[in-house]
Amino acid sequence: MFIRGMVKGLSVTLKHFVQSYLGHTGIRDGQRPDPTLGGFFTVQYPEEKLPMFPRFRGALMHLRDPETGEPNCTACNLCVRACPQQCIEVEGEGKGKERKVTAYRYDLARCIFCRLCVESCNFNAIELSQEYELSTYSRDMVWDLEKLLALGDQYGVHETGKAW
Amino acid sequence: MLKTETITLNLGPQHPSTHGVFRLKLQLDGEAVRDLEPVMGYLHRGIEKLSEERTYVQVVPLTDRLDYVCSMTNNQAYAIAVEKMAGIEVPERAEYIRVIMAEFTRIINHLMAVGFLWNELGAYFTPVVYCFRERERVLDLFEMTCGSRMMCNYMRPGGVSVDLPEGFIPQAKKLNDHLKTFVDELDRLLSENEIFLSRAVNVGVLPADVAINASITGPMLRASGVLYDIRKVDHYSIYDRFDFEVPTCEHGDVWDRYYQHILEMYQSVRIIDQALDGIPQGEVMNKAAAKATRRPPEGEAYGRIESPKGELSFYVVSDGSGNPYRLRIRPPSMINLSALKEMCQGHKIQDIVIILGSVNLTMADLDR
Amino acid sequence: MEFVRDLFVNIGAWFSGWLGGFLPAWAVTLIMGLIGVIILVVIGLSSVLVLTLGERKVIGRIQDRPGPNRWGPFGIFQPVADGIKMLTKEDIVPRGADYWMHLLAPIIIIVPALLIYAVLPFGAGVRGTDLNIGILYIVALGSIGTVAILMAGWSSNNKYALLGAFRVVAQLISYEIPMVLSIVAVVLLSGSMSMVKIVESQTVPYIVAMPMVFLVYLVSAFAELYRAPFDMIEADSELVAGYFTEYSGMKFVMFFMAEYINLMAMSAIITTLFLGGWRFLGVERLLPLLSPFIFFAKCGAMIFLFWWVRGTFPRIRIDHLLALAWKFLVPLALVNLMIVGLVDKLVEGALLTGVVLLVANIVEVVIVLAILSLVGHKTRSKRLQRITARPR
Repeated sequence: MFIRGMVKGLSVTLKHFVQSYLGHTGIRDGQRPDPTLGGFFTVQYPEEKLPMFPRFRGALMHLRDPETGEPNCTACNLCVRACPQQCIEVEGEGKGKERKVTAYRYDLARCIFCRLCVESCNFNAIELSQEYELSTYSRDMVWDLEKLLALGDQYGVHETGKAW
Repeated sequence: MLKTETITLNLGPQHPSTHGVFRLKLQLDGEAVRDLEPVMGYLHRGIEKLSEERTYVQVVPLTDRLDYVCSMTNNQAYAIAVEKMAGIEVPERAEYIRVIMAEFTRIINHLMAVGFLWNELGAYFTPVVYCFRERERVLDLFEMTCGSRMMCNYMRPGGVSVDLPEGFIPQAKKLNDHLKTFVDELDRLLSENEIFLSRAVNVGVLPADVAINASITGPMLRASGVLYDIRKVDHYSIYDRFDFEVPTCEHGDVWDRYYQHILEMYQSVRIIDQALDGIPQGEVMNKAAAKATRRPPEGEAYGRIESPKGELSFYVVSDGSGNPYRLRIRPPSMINLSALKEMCQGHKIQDIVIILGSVNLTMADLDR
Repeated sequence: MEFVRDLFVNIGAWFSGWLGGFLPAWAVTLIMGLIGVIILVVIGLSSVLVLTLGERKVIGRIQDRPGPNRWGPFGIFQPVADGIKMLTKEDIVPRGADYWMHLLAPIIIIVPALLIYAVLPFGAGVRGTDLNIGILYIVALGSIGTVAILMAGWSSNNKYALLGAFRVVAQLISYEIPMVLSIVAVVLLSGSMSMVKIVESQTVPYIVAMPMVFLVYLVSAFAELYRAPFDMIEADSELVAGYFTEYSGMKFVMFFMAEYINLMAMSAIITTLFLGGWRFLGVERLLPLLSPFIFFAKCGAMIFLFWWVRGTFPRIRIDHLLALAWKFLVPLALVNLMIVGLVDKLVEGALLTGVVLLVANIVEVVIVLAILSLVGHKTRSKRLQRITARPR
């Protein structure tokens, strides 16, 4: 039939039209949608937000020792050297086992969220959070140690790579 | 005799259908195109130069951004080149994971190619939305594994960076079965459409000898009838253990290039099925790799793979220090574009747009 | 109860009776005419509001997404937002453009579209007027829009806009011929050019009696409305700019409003000519109140078809488009006309005529398919073999 191809195409779109009213590949039980479901696919942000996977790479955060409450970071500069974009600057004081971090500047505008810094850290000090709503109205996107520690407290993570 | 002039028209860098920033200077005689000259370089970011200042592991996030649609295969090509140069072995489980991720990447690239070809034909985004919906599901798998949907930074020299999470294999199997039915549905929606047939058959024909002379690789070459797939020729990774065919089409026009993408998606689904069934346990990263890539011995290596767009290869030269001395990338999109003038002879403007769409470019790959 | 049974006609009669109580006859006619005009223009312009939103929602649903749903529940204030956006744009007239033609082109394209609503029969007795040359009036008005497009292209002082205008005009005038020939077939069968009499003579709707004529008319309607798959003027992936490139603000809105007003009018014409107008299995004689609803329901089905096709098909190239009109549709329309004429003359009785026509149309479809497969889309059939031979 000479318009058979077009009629087949029309049948597929009609099926999608009807299915979008009947089915919903929405967020169920806080999980991502099942791949086999059909139907309405849009997630109505900001009323609904997709849940992120545990391994999601968001902005950087600092971790604390759960007993003492001190940051784990010893200012060893391994993350500074591992970062491809040179977005971290660290200052510390003390020597040997008592070395602690005093200032940590993380430039969010340069970060590419590649996680090489976390992979290089030996002291369980940093991890990537699940924070992706990072837009600001001004250009001060350099985060200091307090903000990074606050983010770590908010996510309640104590061990690097736990999700991995 | 009539004295006619040709008009010079500029398909400018900002245009909805040039797949990124790409400029095309056309000489038109009425509607027919007499000559065309592409102007490239609007998206050049100097990745080859930047990589000379970074260590071998720090280059991997840079290679993600080469062809942002298929970041896993870019990582794989670089990893294979460095492994050849430094003599690193890859554990078996890592090879299986690499094959699974590479074939999923092939599927998502072909979905995007088909979707955007139809967007240029004027189908008002419906095939785009269907293809991208399936693409989202595959990207969910990538996010589950490595934390990021597009800039994966996953395949490192020596293996892969982390092991698969727990729910990956059942989810991947479910998705794979669903993709098979989806490609059937896409075929039903698109392939036999008479309007598409009248617009795409015998348009933009690329003869096989022209394609071979122009070093074209990938689906474009196979659509012209040449059976050349680097997975079968080079036997890299563990593709020899899987049973799959390499489809070809005969005529090399736009319809054949579109149908080639559909056929290759079926073969990728087959490979993923076999890989998911046979994946062994084990470690995923060679422990000696970190030391070997810190300061590899002097030498050079050429590593190539069959990326979804064609032959993607890295030529890595090391001078004994921790940074690569030179990293040369062979971009499949740029080489595939070189035959554009031959393909577009005598066609009209509306055809140029769909021929450009059927070449399946990503400007980031072309300009690096 | 009697009053409600034929509500719209009775309200009109009551109102003109009340006015006649204290006004002379000519004033009553004038006022009733003005009210009719206002109602029809409101129907025409509000169809734009409903159709733009409906199109975006239906095409969205085809693509598994909701369409506009931020402004108001189900997005019903979205057209208001679009209108406010359009009104706040600057009105630019290019230098060197012919100012009066530039100003008149949007007006000339929208006024004939609105004038068509005067003869459309929305229900039993619910209409603007019943001209006895109704369908001829509609065909004549449809041609004026073509002139407006040429004016728009010419007055923009932009050679690409002019080329775009030439293409659109070529498309529009090519497809008027099969359209008019199909209309002649309908007029032949119903015996009158008046829209009301065409509806009244459809004991069996003409889509059932002569589906080939309906198909030819449908394809021509898609092209006349420059909608998908014939919408290369709106294509943003084409290089040659459309005729409305140099327009902005309210004038630009007029061109798009004209497209949607034409869409509603064309659906109404198709409903009248082929689907049986306001009639539905005799319900409209029991309860004439329902007849406008039946009419708009059928119109809605046609409009849904237009939206459905837009969401599915790619564009046709300009040379294929013109070849389709001249080489395929015109001969087909002439053959249809011949068949209808023969059957109408030889067969007596409405029902028998319908059945014979249906059989004749089916025979015609078979013959056309046979000719097409012989004429040779050999390359295409090889590709189709490729598809069916694919290993599953």
